[in-house]
Amino acid sequence: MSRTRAVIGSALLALSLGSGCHFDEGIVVENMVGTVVVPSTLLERLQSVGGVPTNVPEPKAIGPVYLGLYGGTVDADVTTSYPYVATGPVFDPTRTVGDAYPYGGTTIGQLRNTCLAALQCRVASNRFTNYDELLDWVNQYEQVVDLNGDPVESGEELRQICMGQYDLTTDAELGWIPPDRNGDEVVDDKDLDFVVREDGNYEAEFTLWQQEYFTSPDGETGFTIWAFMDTASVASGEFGSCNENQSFGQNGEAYTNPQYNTAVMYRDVLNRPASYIDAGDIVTGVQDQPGGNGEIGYVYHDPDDIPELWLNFEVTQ
Amino acid sequence: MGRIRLTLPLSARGAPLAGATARLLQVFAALVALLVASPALAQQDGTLIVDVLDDSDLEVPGARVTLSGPALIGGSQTQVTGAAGQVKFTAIPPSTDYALSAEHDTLQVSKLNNVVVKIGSPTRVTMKMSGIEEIVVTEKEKAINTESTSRGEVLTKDFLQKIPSGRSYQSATQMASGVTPDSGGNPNIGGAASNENTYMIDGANVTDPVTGTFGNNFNFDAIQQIEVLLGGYMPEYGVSIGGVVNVVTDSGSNNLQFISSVYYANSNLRPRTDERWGHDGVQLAPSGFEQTGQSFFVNALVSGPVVRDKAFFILSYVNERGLDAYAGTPQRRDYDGHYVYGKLTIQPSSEHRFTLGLQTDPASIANGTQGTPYIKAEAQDNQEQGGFVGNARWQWFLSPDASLDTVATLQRSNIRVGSVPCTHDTRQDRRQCRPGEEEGYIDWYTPGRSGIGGAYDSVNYASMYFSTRQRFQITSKLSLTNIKDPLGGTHDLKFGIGTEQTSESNLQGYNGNLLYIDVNSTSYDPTTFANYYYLETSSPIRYQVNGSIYNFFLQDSWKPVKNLTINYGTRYDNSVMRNDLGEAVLRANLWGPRLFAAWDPWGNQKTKIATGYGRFNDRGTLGIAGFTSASGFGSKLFFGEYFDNYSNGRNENYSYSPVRNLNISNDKLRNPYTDEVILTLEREVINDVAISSSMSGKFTRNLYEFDDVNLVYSENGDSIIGSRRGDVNNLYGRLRTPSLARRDVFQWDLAARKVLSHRWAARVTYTFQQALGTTNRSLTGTFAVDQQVQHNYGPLQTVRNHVFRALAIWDLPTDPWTQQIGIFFLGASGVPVDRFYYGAAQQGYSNRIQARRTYTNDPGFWDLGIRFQQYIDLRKGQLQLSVEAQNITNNRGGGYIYNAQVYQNNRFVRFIRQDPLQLMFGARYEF
Repeated sequence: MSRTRAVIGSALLALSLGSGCHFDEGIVVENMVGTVVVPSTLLERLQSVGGVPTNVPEPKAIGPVYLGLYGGTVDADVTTSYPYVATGPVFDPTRTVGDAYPYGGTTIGQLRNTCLAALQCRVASNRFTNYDELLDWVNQYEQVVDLNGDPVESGEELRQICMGQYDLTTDAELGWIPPDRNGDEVVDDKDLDFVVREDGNYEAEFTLWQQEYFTSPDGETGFTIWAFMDTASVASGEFGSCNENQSFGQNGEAYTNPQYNTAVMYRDVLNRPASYIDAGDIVTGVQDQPGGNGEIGYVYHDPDDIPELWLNFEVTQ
Repeated sequence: MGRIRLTLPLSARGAPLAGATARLLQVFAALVALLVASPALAQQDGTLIVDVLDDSDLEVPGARVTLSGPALIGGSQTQVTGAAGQVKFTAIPPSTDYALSAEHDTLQVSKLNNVVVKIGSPTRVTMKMSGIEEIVVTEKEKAINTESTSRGEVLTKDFLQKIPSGRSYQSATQMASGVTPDSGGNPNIGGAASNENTYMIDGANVTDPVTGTFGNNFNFDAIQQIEVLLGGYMPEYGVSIGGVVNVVTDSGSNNLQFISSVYYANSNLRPRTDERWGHDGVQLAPSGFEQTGQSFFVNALVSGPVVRDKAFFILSYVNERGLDAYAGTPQRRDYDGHYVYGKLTIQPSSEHRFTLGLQTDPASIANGTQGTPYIKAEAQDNQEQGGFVGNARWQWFLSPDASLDTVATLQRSNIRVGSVPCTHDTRQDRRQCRPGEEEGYIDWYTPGRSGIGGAYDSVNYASMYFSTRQRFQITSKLSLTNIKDPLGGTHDLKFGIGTEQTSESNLQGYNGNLLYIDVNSTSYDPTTFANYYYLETSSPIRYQVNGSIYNFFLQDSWKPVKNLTINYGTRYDNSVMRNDLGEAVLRANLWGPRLFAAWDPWGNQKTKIATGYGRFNDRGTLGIAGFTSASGFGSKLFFGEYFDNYSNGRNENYSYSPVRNLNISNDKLRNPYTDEVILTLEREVINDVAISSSMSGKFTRNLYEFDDVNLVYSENGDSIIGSRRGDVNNLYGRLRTPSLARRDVFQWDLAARKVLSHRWAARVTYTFQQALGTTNRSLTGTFAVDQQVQHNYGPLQTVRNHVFRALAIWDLPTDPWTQQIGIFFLGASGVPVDRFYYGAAQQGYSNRIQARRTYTNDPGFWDLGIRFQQYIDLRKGQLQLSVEAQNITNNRGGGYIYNAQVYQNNRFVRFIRQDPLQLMFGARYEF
């Protein structure tokens, strides 16, 4: 009898332990992190410093950074105008546009909540520490006016207008000003997406949430991460990847409420990057910086890799 | 080392079979029946354990114990106590009116009246015998059931008639601790979602095979008992990662009974406006929309003997009519349901009992679109629903200690949704028939016009939806009780096998394959009609999905000593759910081991310590399988010339969805499962009053979810920036059961309970529940937007953290008990809610920017209901007048748990409006 009970007990225990404590979905899903670095020299703009025209870095011109995961790289064709990734972005105008299919991607910064017309396509998130900065930046290109056509006098007024328009109550909901990321109880430059490093270059962290990682059939390469930064136009302050005819949502309010302005990122930026890269934008070139791998983009060999991806090639035409 | 000895005593109630051959034949026949039959066959009957003691509290062997009662088909049963002074009556109908008598050659007669036998765990009573005088005792329900290891409650007919319970078995389940309702009237049990329960009527699974919610409406007066199980239940109850609602119906008795009742409920007695709250919880002015509601119930029930002690019947009918309007909708929702239930139970001999049951619940729902005042009568919808459940049951009593119970059930339900039938009656606020249309004509061809931004829905209802769901199941269970263990005690062994075959046939489409969407230029101002755009759709699609389940279970209730019960066993389910291509989307072999124990340390039925572990599996639904069905509803959206500035990303003025469904399934799926651990302490502190502490942890993993394998999103997931397949406008869902899709629920009940004595009973319970996880309900797209995963884990709305329940019933001391009062109080803390932001993924407000449910709180509520009944004796029979008030304090601000959300305009909206005060008047005649 005792053996019977022992058998039953053992069977129950075995069933308990063996029937699903661990489940392998057969896919590797990871939150992959890394940093993007933009050399300060590529952000320089001519500004007046003490009355003297001087080239100084202007991080406010950093628009959305688009990061895409593409297939493995081939040797960079450095003879063409732009570097390219063979099965990923196609920059050569003679190639088929729109044949880039990413495995995944994300952005650093985004476009949304365009509450007034002057802000359309000119404001990326987390580039300004306060609304006055933002207002001043946009006013360089176009006077920001309210719905009555009167100039918006202050950052606080701009904040109130936009929060009222979208029924928002916090800066986080509006999404332009960063939260106090470093916990020093002050929202300053150190809380922006891009912060200046000791070497003077600008750095931002990124996370590719829930990225499905794979290994190519040759067992070597997962994929290559490649990015481009949409830089604000020197002339207009606008971003080339911004679709001013696309509402933030194709919802009823966008159609019916004139206060709901449009302008969001194009939906196919990672499929047709060549269509949206303008002169002045910065792309991932050959990673020849110290510690770089000498290839275009960063080639993942392990989902736990933490790449430092340099945006180091300025598009000039 | 010994063997378990299977003893199969021959029938003491009928002619004994001859010798060992006959015994073998019986066992063989039982096994054959098991093999040809099959599924989960929950408890439908009760078990009564009787301990017979003498003046010195010593066991009395050789006592002849007779059980009798009007509900006991087959007549009285007699058993003789063994050396332990104990007998056990099994497979007896649940009833509150049993009587026991014990006779002995040397002791005086002892009688025990008013014995209550419930479904589920055995009822245990003690009879005292004296050598000097006859003993007659009126039994009181024990404050503690020391035999039970499960968590839950049994609600008896008597209790349900006295308490303000709302006259539906779904709402009655709220009387149990740890149960909270969702917006559809389905209960969230023990922190699980409302579509994860098993609903059983008379042992048959009647859960909707597609949605996992309740599948049939039912006549409340025909309910004998409702068993609400939160956990800790044994494999015979089937498989579910939620709870079990096990309804056992009345079967009739030797007493002819006729009950007719009428109830009328009105909820127009208080302001019933849509509440509004600011994001910080400050209440804003109401919207001004009011809701109205009335309902009517007409009930008739007749039951009694066809042949005394041999055949009982019950037949009941209910007409339920509800007229409700929400939030200013000009047309009242008109629900008209007819529920018919009949059951015939025949016991031609002591060996066999046959039961045939049939229930139907056809209903029509006119004007089902509620919640907006901007709808014209001709654009309303009409729903026809209903079906039937037919079952046949054969109980074969091989001996007092062995029985074979076989049930075959066919369940079918239909839902048809379309435009309202037209009428030539100009007095009615319905679509008026056009020339040439017959009365009741339904227009399936004229495209509907829907409004957004406050524009009217007009012309015709947009879509059609037909669904027929079916389940055939057959189950057989062999019960062997009182199997003696050489090492001590007895075993009650059950072995069952079963199968369920399910299917759904579905047709859906748009009237005229076209839908116009009207737009106002100023939101919610119907005078500012701007223009329209339209959706061209594919022809209606038709598909069928199927499911097949085979299962068996083996369980044992071992009592090594009198004060210890060890329930253990396991269950195996082979489940296959197929999509419309016949592909096995879900294919699983599921094992559900259970081990629970209850210990009465002093052996006096005044203390219980129960603990254990169990695994509960989800077998999947047809709805899950249908996610990857090939049939897809194609559409092409034309924005037209007036909206060319608001076109899609490629500056085209239309977008489209392909006809073929784009969803796929991951190669490897694992059916969700819940591991549960429980610890219960109960103690009767004074006579009839027990206090208890019950804790449970339920850990659910691998819930069904889908992610998106096509679209690539911006950093917060609110914009699309690319496509993995070059198709930026369509989401390709992938069915998954990731480890991240999980739910952890902790529940702690502290209760004080007084059983019915001195004319009153009461129960007070405080429940703390905490549910944390990623998924309220399965397959909601929680993982569709990669970047949103960072916000997914948090409190879930399947529970409220703090709930206080108080129940009391009082039979007023005006003999012969002609008045009764029942009170139900429910106080519940608020639930955290989200604010969602516009996300491109779903083209709607669904994105979070912070952790799940940390934006604000839906305030708590409290609710008081009272029921008063007055009995008036008539020359033949009795008239019962009742009045029941629900939500007396008018504080139940949308008590449903899913209905609150901070909407895009920063309004705190409850999608189910505030529950109004409701009065229900009833008259019931019974003889």
